[in-house]
Amino acid sequence: MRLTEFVVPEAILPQLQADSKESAIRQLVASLKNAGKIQSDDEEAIVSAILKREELGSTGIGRGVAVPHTKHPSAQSMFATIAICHDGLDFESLDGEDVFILFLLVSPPDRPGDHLRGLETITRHLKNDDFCKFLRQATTVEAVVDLLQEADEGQS
Amino acid sequence: MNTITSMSESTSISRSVKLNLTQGLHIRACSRVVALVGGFDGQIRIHYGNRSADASSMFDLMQLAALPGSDLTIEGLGDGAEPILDDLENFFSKTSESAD
Repeated sequence: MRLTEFVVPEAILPQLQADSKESAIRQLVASLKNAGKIQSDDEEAIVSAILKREELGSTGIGRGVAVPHTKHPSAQSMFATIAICHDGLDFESLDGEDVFILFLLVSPPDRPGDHLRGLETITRHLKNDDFCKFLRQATTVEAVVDLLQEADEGQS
Repeated sequence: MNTITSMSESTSISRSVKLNLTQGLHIRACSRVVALVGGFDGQIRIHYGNRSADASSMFDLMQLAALPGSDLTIEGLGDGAEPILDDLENFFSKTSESAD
């Protein structure tokens, strides 16, 4: 699976300003709505589902990365967006460190395989120190998209 | 049943388990695995198909992308590995760990 298959470029937030986990999640979901991936009627339900999931345990998985996510029936296929929070954000991560890179993922409820492969794709690339470092330094949508494309091309 | 392999300095034990978690090895399940092996001085690895993960690493575990119903092999190396494998087998045998 390739990152560019499911990351929505129009929803990328390369300079996220957020003072809380909820604020970050709300901005990411709003960005997906503005990009046409989420209907206005579904926005609050998706935010609530993601926040509820976070209550079960943080999706801050370490290395400055968080992957907030949910499954929602309105999703015909998996999609995601990315935010870079250059100031760092307390996400109650498993390693206790601030988060700088957020991948927010929305998947159809009936396809756990897609969801798992999406997570596998994200973590495989973020395990690469250079990809992680350059993504954290990116300040424009174009820079983020270029990095995703380079990562996809390098995986074959 | 364990498979026991004696090596020069330590003993490796492994066993096959079925992943019954209805959502597969998703984020919360991975974090639970990391918690279960936390503090163990030896090494626990989980094998799925041709992939293998250090069970103490979230990033490693998530790259397994193990689906519900998968056959896994869990392997422990070091003193005290067996109870850790017991815990993992018990955890993987559950179906309703979360709706993640």
